[in-house]
Amino acid sequence: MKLGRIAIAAALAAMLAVTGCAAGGSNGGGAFDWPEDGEPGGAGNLVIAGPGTELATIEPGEAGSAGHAAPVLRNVIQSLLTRNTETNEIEPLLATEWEAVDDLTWQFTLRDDVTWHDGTPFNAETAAAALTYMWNPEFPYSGNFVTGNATFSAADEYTLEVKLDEPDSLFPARMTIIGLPSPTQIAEAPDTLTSNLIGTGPYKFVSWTPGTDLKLELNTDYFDAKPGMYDTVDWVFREESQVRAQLVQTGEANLAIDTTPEQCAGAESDTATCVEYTTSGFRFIRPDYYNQEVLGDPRIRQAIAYAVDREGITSAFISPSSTVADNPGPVGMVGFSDDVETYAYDEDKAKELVAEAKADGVNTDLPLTVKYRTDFFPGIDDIAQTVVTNLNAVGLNAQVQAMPDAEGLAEYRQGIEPNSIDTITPDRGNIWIATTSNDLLDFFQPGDTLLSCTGRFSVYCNEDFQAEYEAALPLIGDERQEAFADLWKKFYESEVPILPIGYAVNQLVVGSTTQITPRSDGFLPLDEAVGAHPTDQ
Amino acid sequence: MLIYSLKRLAAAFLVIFLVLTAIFFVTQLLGDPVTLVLGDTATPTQIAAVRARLGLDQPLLQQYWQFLVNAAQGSFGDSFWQQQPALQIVFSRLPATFLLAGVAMLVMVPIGVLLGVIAAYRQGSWIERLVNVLSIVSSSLVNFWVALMLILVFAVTLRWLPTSGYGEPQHLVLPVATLSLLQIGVLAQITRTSVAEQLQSQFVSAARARGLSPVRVMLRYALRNALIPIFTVAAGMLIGLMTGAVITEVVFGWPGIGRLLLQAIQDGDLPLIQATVFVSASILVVLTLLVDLAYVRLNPRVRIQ
Repeated sequence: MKLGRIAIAAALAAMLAVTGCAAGGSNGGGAFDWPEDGEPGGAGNLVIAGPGTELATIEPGEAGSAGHAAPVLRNVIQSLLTRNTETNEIEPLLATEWEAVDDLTWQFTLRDDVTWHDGTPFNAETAAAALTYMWNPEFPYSGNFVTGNATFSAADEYTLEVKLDEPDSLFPARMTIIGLPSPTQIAEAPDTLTSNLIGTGPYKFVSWTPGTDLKLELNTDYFDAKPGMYDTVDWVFREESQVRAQLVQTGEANLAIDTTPEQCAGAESDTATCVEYTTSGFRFIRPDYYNQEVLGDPRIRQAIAYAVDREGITSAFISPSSTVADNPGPVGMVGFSDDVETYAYDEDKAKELVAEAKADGVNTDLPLTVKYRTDFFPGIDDIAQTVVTNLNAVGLNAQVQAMPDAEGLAEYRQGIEPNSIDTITPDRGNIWIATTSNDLLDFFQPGDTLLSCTGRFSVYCNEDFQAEYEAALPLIGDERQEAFADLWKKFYESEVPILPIGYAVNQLVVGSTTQITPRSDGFLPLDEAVGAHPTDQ
Repeated sequence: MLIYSLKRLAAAFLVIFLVLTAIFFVTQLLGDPVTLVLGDTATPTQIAAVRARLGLDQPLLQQYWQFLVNAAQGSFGDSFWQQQPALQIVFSRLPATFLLAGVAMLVMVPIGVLLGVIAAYRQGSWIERLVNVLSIVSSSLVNFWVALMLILVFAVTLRWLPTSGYGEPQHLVLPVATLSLLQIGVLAQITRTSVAEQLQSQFVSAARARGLSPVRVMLRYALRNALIPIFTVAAGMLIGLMTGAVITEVVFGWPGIGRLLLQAIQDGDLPLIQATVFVSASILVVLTLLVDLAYVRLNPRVRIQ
């Protein structure tokens, strides 16, 4: 694989040179009509190339939220509400209004012009059936957003009532994540839920051929169907990101997702445009220091924070337009701390901290392994190599290990059973390079997964942090913002539970005959995508 | 001939048994399949239930025996990824692999042999030197680089061919060209050496002395006797292509078993890994058996032995 990567680098270097020579001779360009009137559809077939990793499933929990499936399949399955990623405000989707009747009761007024793709009418009763099924913490991804018990029922034909067993100010935010599959499918054909996605969105699922493609068709009955929308969608899977970008350059595809910044920029031509957009996610370092001699010392964790050249890494391997992150979420997140102290790259300071710990008896020669999941996100191998170099430069003993995706995920959570991190062995010296998103735009999300003692991916368990975190959870509004911001500032500056590196910037190569605006949550809103027709000139 | 064939057949079964044994024990090292099946939200109860369903709560030797019994019945279980019988998924990918390998062989063998024959016939000429240089260059290329360069030139710059994909005849051109460019040089070199050696032999001199035409001397005497090493190399290439041209399939989005195996490994999909390796090994064994039997036809000395 190493040779393969060297070959890729050599090939890319040669290609960039050749592409530079060829750009002027592109046969693309020209004038286009962007239809504004008429019947919905009419733009023909939209071809989307990507992602790098094949879909593991199209079951509703995975499709309705983040992950590889979400950018496209959220156009099939929809949630009650959606997030305006420009303003961070929650907005209507399948529900037009919502309110908290009391601390434990929420009511949602549903649209009356929606039908599931299998013909099942959409109303409070069927929506309740769908959400009752989906409110399950064991489902992939969407299960991460399920906490406590909830009872869904119909107050009237188009009013959905939700009873909770504990107050939850984030409940509307959760309803932007959890998609609603067809209740008829749930009741009559549950075995098909992993292979046939039936939702209410602007596109209907047609077929999925693993390893080849996934096909959708326009739902002409969709309440917001517009002229110029694509009639069909062909989502083709290509592991090689360079090829994905080239598919758009040649006009074989309209969109390419998950390319590197260089490939995206290299695809710029008469026929393709590179669009970069900051996402709600961030790359980070998770030192698995629970019970570990070296990483367990806060001075070593601070040394790591000073030693890692986050600015260089962010600029070189995430995107020149990205910025260093010192918060576990984007600006606008509830709990974002404006005045948290950053750890500026300072090798001398890091060496001092390592030496200080060593003088106090910490065996800093113990091996540390910087681990990552291959192809988890673009540039991850370069980031891991740089982190190792940075750590060794300040006197730590680090090495790098790449792992296949599934094996890496298993080890990432190895020993972290729900509600317990006590099974982690004392000699575990892993430092993970990873990424996560913050779809709820609330400190709760990284808190619940990465920072609390019960977090699904957490190796952090500090009693003081836990107590303050739990005390802040029920708060709402400014109190919640202030409590979480203070909590993060206090423990990031003293403990470095995790080390954010930089905000994720995604690249989208867009063909010249397609108009689409990607969202910061990675979702490609195809109901807003418009296909052009070349004019006669 | 019959005894020879039976012996080779028995050896083939032994190899498949050893491959199955290796598959079983090597895949034990890949990690806990239950974690891979259940993902990151499994409870201990769920883990125990799946462990029992997959028979992983049994002693290792019992699991091994059950694996052999199931394999003999063509069952490797359902793919974790696609929730379908793993062997069925592998078989669904075989036509794409066979098509790519078959067309590549049809292109590379005639061209490689022709270049080698010309080089041997025109020894010392600029044609031989050119063929030598081309052979060394092509056999030194890395297929990843070749694939990306072909895409850049013929798809991105000239717009003559699609960058990747499957289903239309034009989708075959670039992957076949990639595979062929890498192998033609090797074939040409082997052919040149082998034919040149034959051209020095007494029976070729005698044929020339009898006034036979150069073409007839080449085809009937020199090339025919030079076929054994050429056949050996070509058969090796065919086996390599049939068992999965992983990088070429990945770059061009070709849905063959090489790409399938890579995906299965990335996903930790043990049933699919086992089924793919088993099918690849079986193809290798069958082709090797056929090659051995073909030797008997091609080389009378093997028949006598």
